[in-house]
Amino acid sequence: MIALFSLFFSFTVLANSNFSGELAVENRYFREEGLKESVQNYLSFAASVEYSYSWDNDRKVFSFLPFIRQTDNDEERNHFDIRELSYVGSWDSWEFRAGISKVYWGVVESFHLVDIINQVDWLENLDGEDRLGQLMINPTYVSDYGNLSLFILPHFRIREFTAEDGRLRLPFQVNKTPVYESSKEDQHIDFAVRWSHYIDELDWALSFFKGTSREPMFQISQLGVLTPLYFQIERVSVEGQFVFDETILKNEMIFENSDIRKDYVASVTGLEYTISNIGGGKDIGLLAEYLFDSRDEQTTSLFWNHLFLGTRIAWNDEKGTELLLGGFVELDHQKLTSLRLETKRRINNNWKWELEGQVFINDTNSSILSALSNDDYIQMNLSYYF
Amino acid sequence: MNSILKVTGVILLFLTINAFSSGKGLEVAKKIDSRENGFINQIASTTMILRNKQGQESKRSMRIKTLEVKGDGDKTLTIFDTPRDVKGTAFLSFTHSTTPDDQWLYLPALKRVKRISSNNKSGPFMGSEFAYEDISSQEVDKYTYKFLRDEKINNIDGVVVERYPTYKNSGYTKQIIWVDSVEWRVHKIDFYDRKSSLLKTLTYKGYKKYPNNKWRPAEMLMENHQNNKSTSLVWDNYEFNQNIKDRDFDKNALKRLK
Repeated sequence: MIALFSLFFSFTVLANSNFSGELAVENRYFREEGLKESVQNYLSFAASVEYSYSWDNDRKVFSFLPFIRQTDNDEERNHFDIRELSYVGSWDSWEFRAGISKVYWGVVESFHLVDIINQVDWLENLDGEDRLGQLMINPTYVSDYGNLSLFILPHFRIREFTAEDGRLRLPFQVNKTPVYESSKEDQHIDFAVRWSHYIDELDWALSFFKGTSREPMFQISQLGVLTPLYFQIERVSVEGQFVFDETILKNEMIFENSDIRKDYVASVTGLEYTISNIGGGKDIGLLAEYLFDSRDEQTTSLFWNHLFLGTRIAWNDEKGTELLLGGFVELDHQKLTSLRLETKRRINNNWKWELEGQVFINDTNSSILSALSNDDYIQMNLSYYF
Repeated sequence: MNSILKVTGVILLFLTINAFSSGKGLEVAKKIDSRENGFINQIASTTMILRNKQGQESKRSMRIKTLEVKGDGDKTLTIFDTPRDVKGTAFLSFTHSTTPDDQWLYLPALKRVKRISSNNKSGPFMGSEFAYEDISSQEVDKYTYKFLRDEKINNIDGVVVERYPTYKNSGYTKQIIWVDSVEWRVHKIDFYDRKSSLLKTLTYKGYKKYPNNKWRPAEMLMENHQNNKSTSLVWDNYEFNQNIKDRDFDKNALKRLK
């Protein structure tokens, strides 16, 4: 490795070696006892450290980013993951990325509908923002007609679920060994292709994914153990975003078919309206998004005919203070199903605190939500960045 | 008949604007602009020092890459290094003189490239006393001008010009700029808020001539007269005509930044 680095050095003068990271203490307090476990307070520690090396004016980058979480009361939540171990290089119109990396797709705020390349790290958070590193070969052609990307994904990562003594979990125990539709199991080579472009105020992307569903179906045994079944899907997704003065219109839509599960359509459509620079520079964003799923209550995503309403307030102050508050309303029964609050503020150049609260409202129409109804929590994070 | 009247009206309006904006004020703006042209591209490191009323300081450091675009506004890429929690966050802006700017924000933790509205021109940039419109590239067409007087600035012959933003959502009704008439460098700008009272003063300090004959300030000090806070933008290192091109300012390139 050292020899390789010195080789890089000999090629260029404008090289840049970077070492940074975050150490965080997190305390999650659940308002009630769990389904099985009576522990209400969970203290944990997380670390992510990144080493990167860029050269040729940031056109070539090598990066390595391991992540670890250690918990006191929930062993199953302890995990280690290589979020990034990749090389990316750009030559005029071509970009080539290889290794373990992360890719973000999508434009809406309330839910990550089209984002499919990386498996969700459910041990970290249910919001779908934490993802497991994914092995990929990813060439991109950059042109005046947009960017065309190909993804070859040789190794599938299963979704991890918290154990019986953990919280934010399904009402059943989940089998550690999943089953697969494909005989190649987790070695099935998934692939995706994506075209993204923009003209003036309109940005869009069109994607096609063929491979292993990131979300499993479950087979239940007589002992009440759930076995995840990962099956093969084909999915077309569309994203669009249009900036119109202080309003941004957003849409994400997927069409998915498979041999195992009924074909379905889902979408998230909404807008973000920002009132900017009021009360000493504050920005107040108002969010409204409608979530639709043709599977109705059979959906595995929690949302089928829901309205998300939220607000994001950015103080734009020296401490970078921000607050996000949002809730989902199920429109069939006009019922509030969950509420979420996130707020953060910098302490100084290296320290920052974050507060997160989540309330689930018991909903007999959704088995997942009713399983989570004891899991309202409030979480405090203190992070040291270096 | 009706349409002839309309056309005449438009021509009259055009002539009025032109008359207002022509003359010495516009000439000054064009001279500043022509001295700016031809830098091709530029890479610089800067430190922003924020001072509150009590004089307490906090710092942000960033790298700024700028690409000159012929016949349109510049493309600018800003990458943050500190505070550490926003390290790797990048801001990509394509400035246009008459249509709204195109802007994207890159959030490294999510690896998300987010299109943002350029509508918020008057809001503070990173909690500083600089508004987004103060740091975006200055194009001649963004203002109309009125020549005020000849006046020495820092013992050099100069002129004072008033300018009025033509773009939507500016936080200012007018700006008064002090320019020397030797090298056509801006030395000072007074900003007047929407109520036409003096809001801020920007002072350019330590001008230095670089090998490509371009003048750049070592420091830009923005003082807010209403809240008594100030921000210094200290430029560490300017490099011109580097090996950077249009593709390095593609929104796809944001995802490579560290």
